[in-house]
Amino acid sequence: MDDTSRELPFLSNIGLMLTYKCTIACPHCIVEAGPHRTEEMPLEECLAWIDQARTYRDGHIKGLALTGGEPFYDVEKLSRISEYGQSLGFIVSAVTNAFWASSKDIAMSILSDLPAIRMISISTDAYHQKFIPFDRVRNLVWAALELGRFYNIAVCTDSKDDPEFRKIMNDVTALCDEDRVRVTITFPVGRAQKRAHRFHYRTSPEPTSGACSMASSPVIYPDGKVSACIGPVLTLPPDHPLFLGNLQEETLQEILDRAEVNPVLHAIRVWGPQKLVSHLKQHGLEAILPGEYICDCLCDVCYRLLSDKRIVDALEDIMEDTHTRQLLAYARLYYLNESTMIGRYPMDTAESVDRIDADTCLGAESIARKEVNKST
Amino acid sequence: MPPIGGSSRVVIPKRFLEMFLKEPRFVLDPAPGLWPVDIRILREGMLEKLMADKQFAANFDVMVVPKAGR
Repeated sequence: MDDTSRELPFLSNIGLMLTYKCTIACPHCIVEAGPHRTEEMPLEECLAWIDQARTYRDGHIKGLALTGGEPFYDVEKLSRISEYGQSLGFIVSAVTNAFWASSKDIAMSILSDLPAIRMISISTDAYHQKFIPFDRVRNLVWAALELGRFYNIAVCTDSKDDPEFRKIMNDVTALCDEDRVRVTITFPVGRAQKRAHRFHYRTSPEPTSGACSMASSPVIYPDGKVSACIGPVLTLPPDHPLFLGNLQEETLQEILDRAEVNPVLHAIRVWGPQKLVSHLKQHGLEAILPGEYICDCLCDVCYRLLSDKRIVDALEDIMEDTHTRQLLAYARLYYLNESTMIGRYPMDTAESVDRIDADTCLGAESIARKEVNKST
Repeated sequence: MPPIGGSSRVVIPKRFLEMFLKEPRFVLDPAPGLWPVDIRILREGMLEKLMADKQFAANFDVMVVPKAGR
């Protein structure tokens, strides 16, 4: 799959973290979910936020991803929420650890009772399998196939060389095509922080390169806070640019409209967090940069940068620069076919003399005709 | 934020364009957590919308084929 075809358009999907409750308490869980947790998204607020998501830009948000914790902890609530989402025209997906799929019949029965869930994402790895046998994943995949539901399997590891990880990957790829499997790096945040010394990370003085597609899908937490993604930055205090706002204080439209022109967020989407590192270096701020990064882990770059207040302040200053914002605005247009920042950061008259018609020059990386508001 | 919608022609400044051409973008799967809806489901909907366009349906057929190498 090429890079653009695997990406969802910005804000076309939104996540709802329904609960911190989970049937198990995995040692790698960044949100520290578990049976002892009590925080849940109140049903009435959840439905009201789904309403707001539906009206945002007249239906721009297409997908509703239900996550946790374990959303299947309360199947009745999951049913209400997923059906309400579907009734408003959303494509609903849900994440699960498959604890409930104790037999094929039970997996079939529960999934049949949740017809609104079009896609299911199953988490299984060495951590989950200490509590949940792989047979339950098999049962759920079987039921999903029987019912014609999309599914994928997420496997987390701190080392792709770990024999246990390799065995799980063998089991998983025997069950389904590789393009349904997502491998992620265990991140030393939350409960995993206590085990960080046991992880076998490779590190590098240079940050991982690559754009981040997950920053296109914001997540609402049970208390109404909205984060640009579900990565480890969600555990940071809310004074960094990937914290988008709080639905207890603002509407979803206000929060997402601001996200549309959030320069740090879009630099991460267009180029990746290593671009932020480049900006800081160009401004002579190497001394405050992290000394090392976990290899192949974009989240680590964002987390290390945004957990340092000096870096956050410096990035905010750098991103105020008109040239930097113009570059970002045109990069969004070129790479992602997104024009919403162009009107806000137009080029000056002298610059406009030295320009090339995008229609004739962009080739395959961007479409020819761009939509922008004439009034801008 | 600027309102969204309407249309006009947009050009990319040459110095930016040259920069972008030298820097192909690539995307990494991040870790961990929520996986949004599969883009293939969104495409189903887009295809349905496309086929519902009478003018399109009258003039085109849509054929789904495997990608090269698969």
